[in-house]
Amino acid sequence: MQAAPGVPPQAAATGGLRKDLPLGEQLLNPKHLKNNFDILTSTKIFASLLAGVFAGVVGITGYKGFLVYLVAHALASGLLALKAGGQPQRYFPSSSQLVWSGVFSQTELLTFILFWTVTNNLVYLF
Amino acid sequence: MAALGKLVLLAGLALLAYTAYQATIYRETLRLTQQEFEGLPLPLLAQLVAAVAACLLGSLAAWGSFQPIRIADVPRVAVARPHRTDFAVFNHRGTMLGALPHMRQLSVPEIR
Repeated sequence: MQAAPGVPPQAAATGGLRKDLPLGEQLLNPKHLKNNFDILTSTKIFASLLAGVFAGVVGITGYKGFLVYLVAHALASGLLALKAGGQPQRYFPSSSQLVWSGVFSQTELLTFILFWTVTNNLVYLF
Repeated sequence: MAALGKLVLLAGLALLAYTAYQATIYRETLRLTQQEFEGLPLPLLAQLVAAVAACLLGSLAAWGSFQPIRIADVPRVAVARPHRTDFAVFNHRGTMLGALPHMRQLSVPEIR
């Protein structure tokens, strides 16, 4: 089996499994993995949406609005960590995925900008 | 739990829309009386924060719960099946026999 570049040859031979941990603690269930990741992305996109509406109604204009976006993402990550019972490694392969998953992703940023612009226009310009 | 989350989410979205409408009316009256728009009044701001918080908390419960991803965390009972692979049955009505009230004593125990 060809190893991916950067993978040490021992890990390539065993497929990335370690010998010291039992198999059940290393193998992942793809259905649950997808379920958790879907909840994560949906919550973050919705948090971006809410941040856009908040920034639009308050009347923030200019680059300060992206502060609202970052605060909303931090809040969403905190709430998701609470939902995971404080054990994110039980539900995600790495706990950094919970925090940094969609922060600079195109979908969330554009959703935020869309709802920010639309709400600002609806509330203050029309 | 998910139904309660959806209800809270709906209520939060309605409150958000109403707050946006109130902000429009506030800005309109400011414009009519030729005053400067300094910022939202405190009650409106509090209402907005409450609506956003309700939406966030509602959405947290509405999407469903996290499932543990490691196979060791989801214990499954080992199922003993007969070795006759020609006659393997994976889904049969016998699994439902135990649910019928009058059959509960008669059903064969734990054949899956």
